[in-house]
Amino acid sequence: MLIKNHLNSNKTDILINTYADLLNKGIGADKILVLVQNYKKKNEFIEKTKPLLNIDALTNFNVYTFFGLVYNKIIDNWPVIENEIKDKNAKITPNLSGLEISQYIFKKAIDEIQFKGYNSKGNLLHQLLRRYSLCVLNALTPDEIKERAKILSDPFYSDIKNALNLYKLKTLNLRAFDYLRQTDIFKYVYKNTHNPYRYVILDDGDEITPACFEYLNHIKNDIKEFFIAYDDLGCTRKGFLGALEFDFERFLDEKPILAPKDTKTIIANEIFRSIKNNAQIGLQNSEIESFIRQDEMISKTVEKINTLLSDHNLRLNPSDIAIVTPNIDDYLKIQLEKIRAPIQYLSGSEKLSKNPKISAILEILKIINNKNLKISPYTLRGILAEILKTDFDLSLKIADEYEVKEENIFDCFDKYTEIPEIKEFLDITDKIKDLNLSSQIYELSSKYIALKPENKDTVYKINQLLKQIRDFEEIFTPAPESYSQNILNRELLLQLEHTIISENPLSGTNIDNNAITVSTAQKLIDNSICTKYTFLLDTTSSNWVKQDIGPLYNAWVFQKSWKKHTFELEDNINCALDKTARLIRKIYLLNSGTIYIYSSIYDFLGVENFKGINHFFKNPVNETLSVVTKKAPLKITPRPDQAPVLKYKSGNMAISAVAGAGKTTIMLALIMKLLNEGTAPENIFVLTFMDSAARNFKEKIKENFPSLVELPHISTIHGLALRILRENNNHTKLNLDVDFEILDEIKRGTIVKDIISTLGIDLPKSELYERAISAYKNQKHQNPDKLSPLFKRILETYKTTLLSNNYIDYDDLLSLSLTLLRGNAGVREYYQNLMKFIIEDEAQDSSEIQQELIKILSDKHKNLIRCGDVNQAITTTFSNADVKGFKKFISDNKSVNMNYSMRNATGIIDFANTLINYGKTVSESAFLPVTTMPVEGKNIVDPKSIVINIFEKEKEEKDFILSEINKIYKNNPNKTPSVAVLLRSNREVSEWSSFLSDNCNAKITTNSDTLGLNPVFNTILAILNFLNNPLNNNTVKDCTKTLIGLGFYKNDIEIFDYLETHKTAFILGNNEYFNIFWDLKYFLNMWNCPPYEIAYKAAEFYFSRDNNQKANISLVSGIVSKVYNQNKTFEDTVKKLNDLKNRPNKTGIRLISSAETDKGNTIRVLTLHKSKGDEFDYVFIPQLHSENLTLDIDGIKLKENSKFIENLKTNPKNEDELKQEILDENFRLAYVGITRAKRKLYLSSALEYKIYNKIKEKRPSGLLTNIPAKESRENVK
Amino acid sequence: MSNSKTPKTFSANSLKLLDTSPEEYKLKYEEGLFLPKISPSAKAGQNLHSYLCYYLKGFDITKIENALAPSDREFIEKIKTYNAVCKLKNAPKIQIEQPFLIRCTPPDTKNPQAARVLGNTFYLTGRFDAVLQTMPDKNLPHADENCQNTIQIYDWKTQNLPKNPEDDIQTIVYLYAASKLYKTQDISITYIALVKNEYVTIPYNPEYDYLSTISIIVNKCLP
Repeated sequence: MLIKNHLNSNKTDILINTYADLLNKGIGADKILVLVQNYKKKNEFIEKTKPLLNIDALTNFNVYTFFGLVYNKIIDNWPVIENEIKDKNAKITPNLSGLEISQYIFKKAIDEIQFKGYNSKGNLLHQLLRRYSLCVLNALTPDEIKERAKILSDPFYSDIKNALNLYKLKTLNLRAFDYLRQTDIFKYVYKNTHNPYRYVILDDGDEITPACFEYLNHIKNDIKEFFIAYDDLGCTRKGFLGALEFDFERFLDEKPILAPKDTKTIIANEIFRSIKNNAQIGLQNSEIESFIRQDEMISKTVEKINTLLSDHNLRLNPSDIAIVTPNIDDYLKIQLEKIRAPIQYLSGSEKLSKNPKISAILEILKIINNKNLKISPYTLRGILAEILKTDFDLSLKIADEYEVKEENIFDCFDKYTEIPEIKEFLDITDKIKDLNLSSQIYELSSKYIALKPENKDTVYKINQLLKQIRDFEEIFTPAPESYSQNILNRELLLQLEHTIISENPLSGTNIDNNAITVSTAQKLIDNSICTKYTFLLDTTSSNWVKQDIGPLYNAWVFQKSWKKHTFELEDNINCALDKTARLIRKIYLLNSGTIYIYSSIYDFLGVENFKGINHFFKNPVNETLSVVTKKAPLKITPRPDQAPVLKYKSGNMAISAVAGAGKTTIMLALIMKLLNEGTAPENIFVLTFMDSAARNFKEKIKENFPSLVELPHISTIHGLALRILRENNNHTKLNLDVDFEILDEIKRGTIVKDIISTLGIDLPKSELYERAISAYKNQKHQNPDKLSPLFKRILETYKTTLLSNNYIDYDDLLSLSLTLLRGNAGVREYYQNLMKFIIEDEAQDSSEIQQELIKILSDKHKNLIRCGDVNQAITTTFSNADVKGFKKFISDNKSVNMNYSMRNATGIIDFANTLINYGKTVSESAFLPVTTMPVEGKNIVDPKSIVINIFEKEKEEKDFILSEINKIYKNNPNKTPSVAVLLRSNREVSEWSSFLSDNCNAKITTNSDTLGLNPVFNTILAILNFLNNPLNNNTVKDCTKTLIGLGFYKNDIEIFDYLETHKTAFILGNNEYFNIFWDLKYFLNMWNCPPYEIAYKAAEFYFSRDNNQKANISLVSGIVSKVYNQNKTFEDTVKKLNDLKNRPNKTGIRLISSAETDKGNTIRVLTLHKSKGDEFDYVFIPQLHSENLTLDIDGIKLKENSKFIENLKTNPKNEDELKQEILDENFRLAYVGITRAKRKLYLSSALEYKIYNKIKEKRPSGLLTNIPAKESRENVK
Repeated sequence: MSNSKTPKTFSANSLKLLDTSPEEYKLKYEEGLFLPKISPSAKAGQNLHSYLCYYLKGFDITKIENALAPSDREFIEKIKTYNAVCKLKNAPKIQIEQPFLIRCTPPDTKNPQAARVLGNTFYLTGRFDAVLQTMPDKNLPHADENCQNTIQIYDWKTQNLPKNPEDDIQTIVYLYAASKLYKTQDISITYIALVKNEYVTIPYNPEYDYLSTISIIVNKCLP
């Protein structure tokens, strides 16, 4: 009998009835094999069968999961296998162990094989296991594997074969078989043993593995009748989970019983077809919403769920709600804590050490087996409070004492034996110190983990851990005689500590029927969780579309049914679409109410999401674009010089726009025009110079097109390159594993430092070499022959380190995507087809490589719009910006000149024009001779809008600026004029922002990357510093000072009096009348949370209502998490964060600076470089001495480092050329600074400055003295 | 984990724990809260059971035997000479490791103490190490020479025989289960202590109210 119906139909009930009928007819249970997909379904099948039986006794059920069948076959017939193993040893029973053992064995096998040319050694194990898994689950024969290796042009075929053979041999010799290895030998077992079954009932036939199906085929002739239920559009486990669509009609040579099609099924099938064809579908009963940030999306989800739960008319049980996302991480979990209902998480695997109790037990085991091991005092605090349950204050004291004294834990504890908990601990650890590890864990857990419902999860995990350890002990002991039990235990601990409890298909998931399910799509489907309200989150995340392809495996080609002789990009896309279509269809079938489809443009670390499943859905009500807007839609009436831009239809176009010409607005108008004319968002690519600009564009478009489900691609060119590498698993073509990591600058610095210290070079030179590596890699044509042997060695070692760790650096992003596009026609055509329009901002800053990349990408449609201002090219000297390229583009293509600016007061425009004219007299190449013109009736007419001052002393300059700022605010009491102080360096930004903070009432914000200038970072660091040393009143004082400074508490003199005069630790005293005391106590109670969780919660505590800083909560926690992962202990993490505080943020996670969010009454302090693109009413540019801005060639001094780096280039410039370049750029930098001012510009310098505690005389820059625009000066002294 | 509406299923072991400590039973079997202790002797016991299973099922286990440590080998050889083992090995109709699932519906019981269970169906489950069916050849000698029952259940004990085998919960469950599975009261259970070669046989007692005894224990986990 064949039943064709979907997972939420009555197909399983029909099979259960059939089974009961057979048993009731007297057919022995041992003659009927029932196969179901998983453990949960097995239990449900059995429990539903029992009441249908009219017999009271039977020889139990033979109901198995696909993997359970294999397991039992092996156990029941073990001698058959044992006799076949060549090794003369034998075992009475095999070790049917978990994947952890296999990984350990595999690691040993790999050590013996040379994978020549394969660099990512860290991922080799993962790659091989994936490949092995695919071969086994698909029951591929050696010939089929060979054929697939050929299709994929696999250069490692022989090495993989050898490694797998060695692995198989080792597992045989150890008799250690995980579920995959069991499946691997299954065929031998069933072919050599008797088949007891006469009837087969198979549920979820569409999810069966080929290995299991082959078994059914093998016993087919013995079977009187098959009863198979399947869903012809099911098979969601196809690909990496091994399921395969089978033609059951052909297998049984009969037609299926078809269920009458209801509306739900019809729509579900429609969903399948739409997605498979990459088309959109509008779902009734769905709500689509997209957010900028992920935390906004999650907040909305929490709010919506809480509203649903509190609606008594709905009478909802929490289990009626499910959240489905591929990104179940710590941040999601922390944020979902605000849902007022229990939550259960269903996802594949979890790291053991995530559980605080288990983590503490593991730490205890470490010290039992290595008495003198010094553990972190923070960890000790955790052990005392979580495990020993000693009084919290006492725990603090003991940990504090332990930190100070050089002694081991046991010696430390010996002084506290009068405390019963400590005495008991010493007794038990002494009793178990010589036992094997599993016995130690058993004894410790029995003593310290109470068998109470609240510990259910912990106990469950300990049981899994015990199973793992016992497997290890069973398989790998006895140890060599030279080993003590302690050494063995230590090794095992090391192995287990970071072990991930992998999903074991043989054990079941306990489903809580009174909780909201948070699950991956696959898990929701596997467990057939039916809901009324389903929230699909992160639908723009590419993790929704699982492709699972790595350098050594390919989940599509390794399917049993793969017939093609090639594998192209198109195949990959089609296979992924097919699988996604199946998943979404089933999610829809499991829902009986509303589906919420929520997405965010950025993930929690601020990285842009792309792809995902969002674009498959459209709002059920058809809204035309730009109809519904929260704000009034942007109406742009172009000026005559702007008008040609909005008449654009196709082709290449250059837009040359002077500062203040309204370039951003007109580009936005152009994007909206393209959208309104029907261009699909996915076909529009906008490239900006800065992330903040991309973010700004997106927000503006979102405001104007709120119903737009998918935005155009807007990112920096590096963001686009990353997409190209990640999308469709393109990275595998470059031998990169799926989880390749982009090296942040901290890690990069460490790597370079390690390399140069190994080579015996001075460490301070490491930064120079970092820059040199980057400069070398950024060239379009690299010539390694020109490099010195030493640098060549550094470069090669650096490259090898990156490769072997699966890292790429920022510079690689562009060069690798270029390599990919050049070398792969499929990839190239994919993007060329997609990129109907490319709009590039700040085109004057593009390097040769970037321009090459854009050229290739726009080569098909040739609709490239490049927008920029060559007179604002200010990155040529420290990046490889190629202004010539943009100039050529302007001359080769249709060009629009926007020379009108309505930004600046007329005096400022005059001054800028004069600067250009003067510049031309000093250096021909400094400027393009463009004259900016004001727009009639728009600019402020004020010829005296420039104030130039030269002061004797630095202090006078500062005081003048301060008094002017105060005047500005005084004269504009009801307005909020924007004020900026522009400076040459980050150091000056720090100095001026502290000076202004201390002396001015207005809020100071900076664009600086310095982490310590971010309030969220400062708050978190203050709390972490306190937690690191809670008994030290000085630490509390610093923390309090920071928090008061940020305005979270009243400035209370009493608290500082207390902290300065009392010896008793503040936190242990009776200080209840200070608010901060309670809050600090609250944070102390989080000792069992990892630092990033504390960071998140502390940031939420202080900033959840601060709209300007909210976005940084997850970003700063992300930085803490990153640092914690690199440093492991709490103390080291805090230390490193303190190190990072005063340096520019190089963590790779970009914080949203206050400047991007603060729209109020603030003074912005930033570098001249960072000011590009911004405008302010009042601009101050102080410290304009000649070293900061030299405008004569003789004043330019070349640094040795610059010469060194230049000389690494294939065509290095000579010293004169370099000087000329710097001079030109100084002019343009001055131009950029000047043109930021709308109303008034203050330029100044002093004649002496204190630099590093020394007074130095300075000459004013030529900008203050040489520009012949005297009529605009007021106060030159 | 069973939910309150689903009939509960008990094994001899779970009933034993329920009988002695309903709280522990609840934690272990209903909440899944337990820490499994595996002693070396328990592991050895499991191995011995597996060995006997493969041996009696007729697998070729020469290689396994040859690889055993000398002391284990000696012990195995000794067991093979036990009368009971020899006879089971040569018996024409034998089931090795026979699982069972029995539905119990307590209205059968006459014992008022078990009354609370009335109407609450529950299941018994377990696995007989070996079942010898002498039918149709009634003359087939029993491994235990004193026992002539048609259905003979065997249970291996690595250590000692049960102290009070007649009242042992395993005996009660197994005899009741076998009576239902094989639909006869002509049943016995024989415990064989493998180390000492001791055995004891308890025949089914038609006078004994097995279901009541079981139900009284089951009562302990009812709300």
